Amino acid sequence: MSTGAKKRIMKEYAECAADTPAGMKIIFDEQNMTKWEVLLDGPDQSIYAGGHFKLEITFPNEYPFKPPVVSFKTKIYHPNVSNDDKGSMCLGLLRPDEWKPPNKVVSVLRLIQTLLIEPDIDDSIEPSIANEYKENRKEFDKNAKDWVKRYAK
Amino acid sequence: MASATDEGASHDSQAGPTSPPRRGGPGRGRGRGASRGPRTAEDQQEFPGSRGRGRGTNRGGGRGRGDRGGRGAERSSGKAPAADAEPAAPKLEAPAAAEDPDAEVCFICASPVQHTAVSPCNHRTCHICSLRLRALYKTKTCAHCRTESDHVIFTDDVVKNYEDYGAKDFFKSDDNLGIRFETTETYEDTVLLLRYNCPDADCDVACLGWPDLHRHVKTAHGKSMCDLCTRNKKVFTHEHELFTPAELGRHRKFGDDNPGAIDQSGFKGHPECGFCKERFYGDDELYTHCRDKHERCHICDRRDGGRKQQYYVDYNGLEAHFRKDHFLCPDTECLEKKFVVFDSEMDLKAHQIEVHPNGLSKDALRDARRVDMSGFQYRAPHEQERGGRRGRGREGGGRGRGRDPNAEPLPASSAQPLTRAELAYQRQMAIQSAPTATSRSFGGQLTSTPTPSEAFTARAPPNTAEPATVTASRPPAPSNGVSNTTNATNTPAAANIPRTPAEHARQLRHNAVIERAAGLLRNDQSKLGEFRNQVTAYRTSKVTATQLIDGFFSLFDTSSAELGKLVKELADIFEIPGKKDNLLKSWNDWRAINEDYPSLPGAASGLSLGGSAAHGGSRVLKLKSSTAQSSRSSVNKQASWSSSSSSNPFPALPTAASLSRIGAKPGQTPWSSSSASGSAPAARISPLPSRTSSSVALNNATKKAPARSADAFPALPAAPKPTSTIFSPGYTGAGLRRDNSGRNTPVNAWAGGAAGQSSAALPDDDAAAGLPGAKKKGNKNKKQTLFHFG
Repeated sequence: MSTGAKKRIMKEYAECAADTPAGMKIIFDEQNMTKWEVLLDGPDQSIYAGGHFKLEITFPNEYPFKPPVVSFKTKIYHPNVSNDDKGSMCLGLLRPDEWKPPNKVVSVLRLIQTLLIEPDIDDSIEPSIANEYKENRKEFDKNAKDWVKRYAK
Repeated sequence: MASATDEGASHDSQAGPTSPPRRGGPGRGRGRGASRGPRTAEDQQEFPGSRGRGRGTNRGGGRGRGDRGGRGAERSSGKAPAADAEPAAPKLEAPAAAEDPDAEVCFICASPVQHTAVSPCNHRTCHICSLRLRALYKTKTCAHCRTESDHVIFTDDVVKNYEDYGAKDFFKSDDNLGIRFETTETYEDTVLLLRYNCPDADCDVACLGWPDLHRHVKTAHGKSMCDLCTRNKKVFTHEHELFTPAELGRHRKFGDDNPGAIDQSGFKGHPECGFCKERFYGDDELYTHCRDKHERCHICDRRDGGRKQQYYVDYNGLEAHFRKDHFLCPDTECLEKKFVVFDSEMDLKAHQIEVHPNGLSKDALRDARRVDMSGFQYRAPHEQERGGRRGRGREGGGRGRGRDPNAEPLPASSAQPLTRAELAYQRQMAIQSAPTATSRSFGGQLTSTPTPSEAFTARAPPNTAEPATVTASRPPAPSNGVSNTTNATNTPAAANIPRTPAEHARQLRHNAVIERAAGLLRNDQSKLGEFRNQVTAYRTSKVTATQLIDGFFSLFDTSSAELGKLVKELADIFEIPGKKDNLLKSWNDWRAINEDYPSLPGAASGLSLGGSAAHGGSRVLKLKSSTAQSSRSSVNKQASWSSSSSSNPFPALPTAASLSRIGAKPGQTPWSSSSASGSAPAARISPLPSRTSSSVALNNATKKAPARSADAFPALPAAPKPTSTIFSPGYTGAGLRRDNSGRNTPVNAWAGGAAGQSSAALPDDDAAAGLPGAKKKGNKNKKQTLFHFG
């Protein structure tokens, strides 16, 4: 990893630390600054309220020219998070073809928060969950809350 | 050299007191602007935007290296007033304050901006990031708004808008990268980044290309660079890492995945293909390799939804899997076709009834129609279960085939593995050939013997000893009815020789190459002929691989990516391993030198002359410190640079003699024999005009000097005239040379080759005489004068 990328990550961390979005905590390991751990509380206005989610943000070697990789380490019932052990998220500005070098991690974190409040159904990674969200919102809410209880307490 | 070093040193010392060394560039620029105090200040108050332009023009000539020392004094005095005199221009304040390392950092790389890049949307980045995107990531979009822009401007002016620049504001423009440089300084700093700089922090050697750099780090530093990284990693040359052999092994296998280490980047090594034991840069590259070179079972993929990635080493491996776990149609034709395999026994039977009812005896047919109820019922409850189905397929593999046990056993497939791409190609060809019956030469489908395009093979033609058979065994395209029958009557025996699948596969590959070449040459048959000649010349070791590739560049007017595909396909059909490897190696060398780093036009020459390279020494080290490691050494090893540039600047030229002999040996050039096959008049309607043109030459040759050997056709310039730049002087000795005069070579080789075969009496052919090249060639040959095109 080039010095430029490291500098940039350091800078971003400084920015994030100074202005962490509400309900988030960033664990930054100077030994390995390419992997951030983020502890995220389910936003109050969302069905995930009360849950505590662990996220991992991995910066690729080519950062900031390639987007960071976001994955949920805590299982979450969400149309935009893959329902496997990876818990990966790939949408909006996180897509390789939509990522722009000036984008900041803070904006990524805010995007995640927004998505917990309002999933992006048209850009879902789990079509079945997205479908349930659309067709049977009650069932979706129930499942999501259930998962919060089971995995995110 | 000595003065250059001095200058570099003085330059450092100037920058020292007023600014940190890395800010040397911009600091200088601004200082100078300010030193013209009165005027600049005036401009600024009126409209700050124009300031840059005024400065730019004023500056133009005065940028010479020589007067730098003089500037120093001027600068240091000019600096302070600059800040005082222009409090109204906050924009200007920013760069002036750039002495402070926190100010004016690039928003992408978080490093101080040395020069800015302005795109038409007026978004700004530092020139390094902009160059990185353009030269390495090959994207011309703005980092901010993703607007495509053909050109950006590299400048030191931080406020001036893109549209305020006019053509005369630029010192230089590079259309390849799409960068316009406002000053010599921005240009030189950019060029520095693009050189093959040694990654060693204390070494300022710039090499001529990848091979040269690899050699340099080996000899000078005893280290090596990771080949995969240098080919794939999108960083500037000096940002690559140097490894000792042990480190390199670890890097390739494990990456820097060393928990707790301070400098790990999450890179876990280059993944390896389990079959080939070859490593690839990343997972994507490995995937591409496996997709292209190995096989996957489409049936299993469908079942698993493609989640489990199971590959088979080649089609034979896959076929074994088909036999074992699925229902493979055992018919010879289907085995040759490949991938005729079914999920269930029922599907297989349905296929057999539909496709080869004739191949089955009545009993077998009846058998096939009968559904094996016992098995069916037994399996019914488990139909969904993969395991059950598989188990049955394995145990009852023979039974389920639905073949009459009395029917003669099917011969084992001797098919050479065809990749999917080849299969697809084969099918596509079959479709194309059926309705149109055009004059294309895909004889592979229909004839039993090689078509003329087969001549373009890597092997010596099998029948050169007996011209009679050659004639017969090389019928023109099968779609050409007339010639087909003629030849068929001549040698019914030859026509009946069955083609082995291996030959068939080879044929397809040959056709694919010819097709691609024809496509690239827009079906210009004379050029296609040249292409073949060049290949033959290479095959017979008359030219080196490097020369061949140069020849291609003069022949094909196309992108190197397209040419790369062609070269790779071509290399695939060479059955002599050395030839294949040589060709690929030369191609990679060429690419390494010319493509990986799009060099700036004039950059190489400008710098290698020593003038600007001289100060490059100190500069390149500074550049390294700004983009890579933080080492601050200012060793000036000018000598090494100049020595590397002074290595043999004259690539070995092929001797005229060897060139003129190309393809001239009787019987060794496959198409000479193919043109000899033209003894049947019908062959004139041949789909390949290149052949007809050759027979024109042949006709002439026959009339004039049948016995003349190659020496009689010295129609090549005594030494090929390099009409374009000499690329890598001195590396392999052969270097890279573009040689447009190479164009002549093949045509002459044709003539020569034809002459060799001229014992066959040929009727005159008027149809093909329209080809001016061929005609002229004949005349010239008669006079034995040197002739060369263009």
